[in-house]
Amino acid sequence: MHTSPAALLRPLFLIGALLAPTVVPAANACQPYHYVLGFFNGVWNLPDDANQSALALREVWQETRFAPTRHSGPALEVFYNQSGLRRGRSGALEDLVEVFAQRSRELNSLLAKEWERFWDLLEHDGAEALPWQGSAAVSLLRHLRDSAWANYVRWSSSWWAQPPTPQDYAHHQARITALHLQGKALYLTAHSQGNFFMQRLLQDPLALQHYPQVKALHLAPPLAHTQHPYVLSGNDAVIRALFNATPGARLAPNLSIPYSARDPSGHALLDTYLDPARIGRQAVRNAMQSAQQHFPPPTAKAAPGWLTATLVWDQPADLDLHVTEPDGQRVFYGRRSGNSGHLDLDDRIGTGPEHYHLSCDLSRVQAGRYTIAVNPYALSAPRTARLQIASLHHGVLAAATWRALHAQGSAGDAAPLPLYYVDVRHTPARQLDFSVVAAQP
Amino acid sequence: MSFFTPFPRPVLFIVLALLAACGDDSSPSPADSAQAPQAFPASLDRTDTLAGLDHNLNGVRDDVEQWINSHTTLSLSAQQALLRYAHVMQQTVLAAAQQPPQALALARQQASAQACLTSQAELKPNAVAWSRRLRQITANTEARVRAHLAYSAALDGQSWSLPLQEDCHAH
Repeated sequence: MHTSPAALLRPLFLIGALLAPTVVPAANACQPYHYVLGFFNGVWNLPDDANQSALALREVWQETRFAPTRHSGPALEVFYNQSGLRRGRSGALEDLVEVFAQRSRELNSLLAKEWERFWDLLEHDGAEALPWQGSAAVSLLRHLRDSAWANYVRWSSSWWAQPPTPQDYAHHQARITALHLQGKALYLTAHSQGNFFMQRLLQDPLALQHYPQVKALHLAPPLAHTQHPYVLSGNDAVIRALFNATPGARLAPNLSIPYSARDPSGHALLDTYLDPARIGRQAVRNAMQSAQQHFPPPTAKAAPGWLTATLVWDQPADLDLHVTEPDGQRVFYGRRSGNSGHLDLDDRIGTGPEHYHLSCDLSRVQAGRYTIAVNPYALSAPRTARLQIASLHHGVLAAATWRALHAQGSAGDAAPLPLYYVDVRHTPARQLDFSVVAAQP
Repeated sequence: MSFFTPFPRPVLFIVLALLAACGDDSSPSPADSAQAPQAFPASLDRTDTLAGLDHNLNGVRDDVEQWINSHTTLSLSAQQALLRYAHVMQQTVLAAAQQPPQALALARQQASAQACLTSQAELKPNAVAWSRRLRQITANTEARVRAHLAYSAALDGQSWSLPLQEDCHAH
């Protein structure tokens, strides 16, 4: 058997890669980027699809005339939805699994064993040739693909009647709020079904209160209207099918991306809208460029930090964030500075946020356990609160939803309810390592 | 007039055929070093367990590692990037990945590994195909498919960051 030199050395490199420290200059550690490009994924996107789309959008951003250097970003955030499984309705991915399992067992024993072919059903772009040309399995797979396609359209169009609820995008909202508070310039993009999520979030009155200067771009939006720029091809067969299935107002296409054998649907983000060889990418680039010219100077209301904790809630009340640092010092509205961090936002009458950040000065950051807790100080009725823990370089580490039932007043200050423990460790590369443990089962 | 004017089917096929024929001229030429993933391995691990066989205990299933290894013309760094991504993919089909806190941590690792994969000149032009192929051969039994979907379901409504730069240093 032939073994290449690369193969012989590979295990060593793999171990090296897994152990290699994160290299980020210690200087300016808390302000490594200014722009954040967010991406809301479309239906049936797996996390790898969403990541690849976000990376491609950053590439387009970096092609613009006004894009800053690569080293200043934009930072990328994926705002993920996989609501098919969550809601469990017909047309969801789990439904497709059942169809594949049943039909392949009934009709083709070969296909029933080769579940790697299941993933072909999700690719409606025809990019890869089907296996076993000429075999009975081909016709079965084609049949399953057609069935999947019908499910795709049905499932996507169901969002017209039942758009995402605040519960669906609550954690996304909390993250965007935290980034905006820290003065980031937010450029949100969405493809296909992701537009339902992004639009609802942008229309949320509580959300707008927190980030009025965010900019957004809809890509292949199956929407009736929007106040934000969009790119929609008249040759997008998926949107056409969705619009045909849902009468009423709809956005008019504003360009016509030529057909391509790479993506006969005319709908795929990477193979059509961002295809370097066709006009969609230029339209996206122009929209980004226009937005870059009109971003107002960011105004930070809260400081970034190696670690941040953001608390928001759904209706006016007074909920308090408490962080106990490793030396036992508790940081809360009564003592807003600890030896390692600071509570820079305290809200007593609205819906938050409360915001704690760990110092950007590494020498001030204590190693050890930080306890992140909340106290429902005053509320007239039960409230739903969201707590999000994020690190500077890795984004959200943990997010929890918590129901506050009764006001505890100042009595609760003595024993706030812990939601997370964060263990902080200094690494040899002048970095911090975080380990988050949920305090509540 | 609606923008969505339906094409007569014969016309559509002719247009598609012409576009396909002209594809080489209209597409930007890919990087000289670009490589595409090979076909599926001759035999994939279809054992009953989610983990499958991993004799050298490096977190990458033996058959997947062998498939990566079969791309002998890839550079060492490209193979390393594929192995790193395969390692994360393998984690996504294990039961622990289906709990939200673990899933979120894994999503960050996956994003980082994917950015690393995309940073490789040989892999970048076909980065989507490489990552999808590794998903296919990793989640290649009914149980593994369901496990990977459970992982993605655990991420519903969550968000994660990708590395600021597409390189293999960020973790």
